[in-house]
Amino acid sequence: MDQEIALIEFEGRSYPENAFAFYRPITEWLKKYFKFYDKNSQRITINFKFLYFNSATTQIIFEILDIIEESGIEGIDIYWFYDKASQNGFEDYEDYSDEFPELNIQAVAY
Amino acid sequence: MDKNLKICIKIDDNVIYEFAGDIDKPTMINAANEIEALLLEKSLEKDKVKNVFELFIETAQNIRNYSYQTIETANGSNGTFCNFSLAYCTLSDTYVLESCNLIKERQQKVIEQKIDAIKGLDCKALRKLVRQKSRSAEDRHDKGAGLGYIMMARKSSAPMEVAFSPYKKGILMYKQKLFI
Repeated sequence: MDQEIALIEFEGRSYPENAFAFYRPITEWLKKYFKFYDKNSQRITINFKFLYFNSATTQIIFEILDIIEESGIEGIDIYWFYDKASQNGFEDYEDYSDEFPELNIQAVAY
Repeated sequence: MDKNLKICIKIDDNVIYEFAGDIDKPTMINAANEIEALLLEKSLEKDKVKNVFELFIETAQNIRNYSYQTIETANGSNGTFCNFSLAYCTLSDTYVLESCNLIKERQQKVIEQKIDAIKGLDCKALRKLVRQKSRSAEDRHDKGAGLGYIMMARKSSAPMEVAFSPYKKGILMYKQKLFI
């Protein structure tokens, strides 16, 4: 998270065994951050750059997207980065973008 | 666990990786990285390597979640005894990830219900189920969403095989075979 440039980034491999407990501080922080977000300030960028995530993290990502959606903030750009050599990565993007069409998640191939 | 519980897979005489011992978090991560490195050395397609890596993690986490007992390992973290191996079948270009561990008898029903719920579902239906379960509180606990078996089915190239056999009173031996 870089508050100065309003960048929130999830990067790398995520396979915590106690996923909900592990991510709880992050989801709680996000709720507070969006609650006090000034609509006149700069747009927020959220990048998902997971190389791999376990099944428990799958649900956490849904929870994070729920939090974003419930915030009602329009000035959020969400990017889903995926390996263009991997079909799985794009399928994950499709699952999240289909489930949250109003968030207009953008796919970025690398 | 007795030594005779060790599983030996011989498919094309090509067992790639074997493990028998106490698996804790550092051991699991180390084994996953070793498996990934081994497969990448062979320059396999990325999705396949990723699927093997992912299913190994899901398997190991299930072993730890469903284990009948937790012990303190030499690393000072919580572990449980298990065997697993990864083999490659050249004829079908399939990886076989087999594991064996001990579970409490009551876990059999839980596991069977999870497997029954996904039996016969195609990839599209499995994806839909992941989305449904992810958005509901059903099966949710601090360790996850109960999605492990769905993910295993989704990333497998053939239905998983599981077997339960008595070990001692209240304890079962659980064997699982995944095809990737």
